[in-house]
Amino acid sequence: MNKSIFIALLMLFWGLCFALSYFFIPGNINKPKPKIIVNSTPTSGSVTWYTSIPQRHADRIANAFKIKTGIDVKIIRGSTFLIKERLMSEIKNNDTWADVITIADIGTFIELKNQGHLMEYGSQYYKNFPKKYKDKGYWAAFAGFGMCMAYDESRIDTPPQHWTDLLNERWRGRIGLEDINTAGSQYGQYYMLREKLGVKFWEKLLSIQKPKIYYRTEALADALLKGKIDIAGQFSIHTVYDYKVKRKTSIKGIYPKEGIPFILNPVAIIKQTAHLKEATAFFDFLLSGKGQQLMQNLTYKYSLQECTAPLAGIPSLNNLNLLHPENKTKYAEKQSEYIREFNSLFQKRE
Amino acid sequence: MKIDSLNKKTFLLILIITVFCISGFVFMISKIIKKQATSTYKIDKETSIELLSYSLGPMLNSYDYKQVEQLITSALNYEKIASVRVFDNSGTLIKSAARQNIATKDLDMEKRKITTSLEGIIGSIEIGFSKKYINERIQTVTTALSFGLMGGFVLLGLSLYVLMRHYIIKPLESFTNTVKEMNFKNLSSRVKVYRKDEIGTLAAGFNQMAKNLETSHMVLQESENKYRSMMEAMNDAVYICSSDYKIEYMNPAMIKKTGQDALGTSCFKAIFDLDKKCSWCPYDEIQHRKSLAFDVVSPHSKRSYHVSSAAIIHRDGTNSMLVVLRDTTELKNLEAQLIQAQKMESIGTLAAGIAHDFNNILFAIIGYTEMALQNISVDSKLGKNLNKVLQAGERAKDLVKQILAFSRKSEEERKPVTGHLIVNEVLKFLRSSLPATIQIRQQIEIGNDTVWADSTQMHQILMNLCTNASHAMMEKGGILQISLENVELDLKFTALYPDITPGSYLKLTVSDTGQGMSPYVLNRIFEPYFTTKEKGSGTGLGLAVVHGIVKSHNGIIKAESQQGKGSAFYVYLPVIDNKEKPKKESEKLECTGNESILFVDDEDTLVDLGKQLLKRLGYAVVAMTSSVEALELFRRKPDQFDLVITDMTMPGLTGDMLAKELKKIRADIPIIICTGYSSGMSEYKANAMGISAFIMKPLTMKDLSVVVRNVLDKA
Repeated sequence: MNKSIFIALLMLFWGLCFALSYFFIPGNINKPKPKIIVNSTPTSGSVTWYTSIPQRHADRIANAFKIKTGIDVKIIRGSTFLIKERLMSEIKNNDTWADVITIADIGTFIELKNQGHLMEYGSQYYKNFPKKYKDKGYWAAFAGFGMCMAYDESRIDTPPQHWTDLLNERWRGRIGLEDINTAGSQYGQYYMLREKLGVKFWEKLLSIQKPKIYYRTEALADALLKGKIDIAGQFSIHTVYDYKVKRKTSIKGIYPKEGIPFILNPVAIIKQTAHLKEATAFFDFLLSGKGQQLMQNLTYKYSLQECTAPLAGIPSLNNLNLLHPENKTKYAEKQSEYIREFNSLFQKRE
Repeated sequence: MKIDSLNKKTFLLILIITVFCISGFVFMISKIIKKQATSTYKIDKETSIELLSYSLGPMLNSYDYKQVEQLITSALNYEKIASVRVFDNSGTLIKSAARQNIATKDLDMEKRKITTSLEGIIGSIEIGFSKKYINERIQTVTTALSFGLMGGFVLLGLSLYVLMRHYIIKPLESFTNTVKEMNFKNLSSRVKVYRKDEIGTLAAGFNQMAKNLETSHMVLQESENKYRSMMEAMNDAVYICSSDYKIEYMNPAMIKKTGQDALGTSCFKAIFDLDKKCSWCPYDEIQHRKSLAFDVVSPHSKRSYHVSSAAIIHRDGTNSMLVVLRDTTELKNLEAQLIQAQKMESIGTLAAGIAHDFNNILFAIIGYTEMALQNISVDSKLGKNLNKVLQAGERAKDLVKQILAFSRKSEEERKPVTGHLIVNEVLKFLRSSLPATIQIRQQIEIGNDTVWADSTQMHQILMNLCTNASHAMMEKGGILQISLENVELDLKFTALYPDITPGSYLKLTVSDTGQGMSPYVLNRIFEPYFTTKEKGSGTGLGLAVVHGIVKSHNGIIKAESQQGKGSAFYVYLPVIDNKEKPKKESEKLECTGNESILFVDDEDTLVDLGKQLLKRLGYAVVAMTSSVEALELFRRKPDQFDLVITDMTMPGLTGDMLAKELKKIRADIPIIICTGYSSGMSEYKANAMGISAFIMKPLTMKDLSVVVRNVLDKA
């Protein structure tokens, strides 16, 4: 054989070896990945839960319930008033999926009860809740949380101490609020501070101080951290806890002595429920110690169950001047009006 | 396949080593990979399960099953994990994720409890690790490495081969090719490797060695050529034979001698035609001596050789024998001839000496007898007896002449020679020496038989031819005929003989009726040393000498013969103008005179005889025995004498010296030198010296009177 041909063949062989070597390097072979099949806990039923708590929290609670009972929880989540609106519309259309509802608006539950849309159920766990936090047989406070102010302590040395401090010129244009149209907590704070401080307060705050409106709590917190605002005029205590304690940011809460609007997040079974058994089981779970503990651990909101200890590091309710609506019915009735008012006042800002 | 080259061996070796390395490494690597993979797998397994269980703790704690699902699903991105199942602490399945179509038997299941620091055990995780994966992993890694190693080693081997080929094999191949090219006919090849490493040094050293070898070969070749030329040019036969007498070398002279190149054959057979070692073989003797020289006679050819032999010692200890054979046959013949010639010269000298004295004695005998006859009647008894004495004296005189002629020295002296006189002389001699069974006839029909020749050589020609003729008729007798005639040779004749030209020639014919010669002998008779006679009977030179003499005289000799009938030799010699006609004996008359003659001879008897003879002729004679005294006398009276007659051989002042002195005194004095024999004088010499006549004793009174008269008349 010609020497050149032989060497050429050898070179070819060498190249082939290296090519094959590369080809066989693990990872270089594009084998089709087999499909992954995911299985979950076998279900024995399902319940639909309308809620305003964050989805991630709702999922976990649902998971805990499912793992315990095997009942799958279908979560319909949205902001408070959107959920309310949806539910109301479904009920009106007599086509609701909701089995259980938990939103941060006591007024909605008053309304639903008054309209006969709440299932009466004598849960064993009612007894664990104080009177002011339940309507036995119909609803109980799944969670409660207070509304405070918050600031970035890395930037602000002298934050406001009172709600009225927000009216200080210093804070003009530097205050952030949540959208009252969707957030039940914003309505609650508006209502209770209006009761406490009068509409003037809000008028000034909204019209003169030119606050910025944010549609999600995370957006508000983010604006605070980024310095777009100096003060979050509406910030929940559990959010402060989350950002300060859990996330270890420089957000710090301000708990005005004149009062902390306390928002309830009740839970009730919709009378139209198609899954009563599952709904009652879920209702019980939410009010059970495990459910309450879970809620507390997940949302950092207060469990109003007497036997459930608060989270470490969160201000004790006993140390706060909690503001409650004096008349829950009025609270419910004034909802639309006060929201319009808020909007109107806000529209007036220069 | 024959693996006979460094290139093939190197390639094969590298190939074998590469294969071995690949096999060994692959085996080793696969073992290591398997071990490592298994170990890594165990670690990975442990790590995975720890990580997952640790990660799942908070998730389970917070019931974040979505994250659980994400986690376990993402865990399946690792191919080694085939399935993950998460349970709560009651064993209820929370989430599970698995690859489709993975059989449980292919899984290595590992279960671990999920704990948190606060809650303790909150669940458990079960992970199924793919055995197939790990095996595939091992296989692919091994395969990848194998191919990689294969490629790497092949490349390495190839590189090594290329480098070795370039730096070692190619130079060595160049070396080998150069060495192959080199032979004794081509030592100019050189290794074309110019590097500064060991191979370059080796190449340089080889080139130098080759150069030295070439130079020394050239020198050796020149030396060999020189000695070969010497050997080949040598007329002596040379051969070399081995210790077992096989011929190893023959020079051309030897080849010519043996008629063949007898390499390899036995020397005694090839050269001397013997069946066994020569009796005189010197091989054994020369082993102890350097050389040896001796004379031998070939047992077959009978030729004589001088043998010189010497030992040639080879490197391996064996000896060969160098033999130089010089054919000394001719030399010995020449030596014999020389000895014969010397003998003849001695005889000639003796004869000359004897002739001189004998002639003197004969002169006295003839002279006194003549004078005695003048005083008595020739018819008387005394007169008759004295006549017989006179005849005997004449014969004795002729005989002395023949003897002198036969023993005359070879000093050539050319002069006009009369052919018939030579014939007469020779015939006279032959008549007394040949047996009666050989009849001698002569036929002389000539006008001019004078040739310009050396009389001795002419004599020799005739003697040799007649001798050969007589030898041919020795057994049965026959007729020896000698003829002389004048012939005219034309162009047609002389064209056949380039040595002669057209003209008048004397043709001498010597024929016999002997046994004749064969054509073969006839063709070779003029070759020197060619003879049909036995050794010692003839030298083989006679006819060669004749041929040479004839040729030197611008003549030719022809021979004809018929076996059983006889032979004839024809000698053609160019004649010259006959200026000197020989005097006929019968025309000579006794002459007288009255002049004064000084007669000088150292012998008293001859002085007295001469005086008496000259007085009887009428001359006044002063006779002296001493040439010195005669000179003195003449010196005192230079005009007293009309003629001086002197002997040649005399003590003190020889005749020619006396003549010379006399001529000094008187240049015109006629002088006759009369001698019994003198090799130092001849007629020509005498003429050249101004001597008027040169006569040989013994002279008759008549001869003397004629000569004296002629000289006096001419003076």
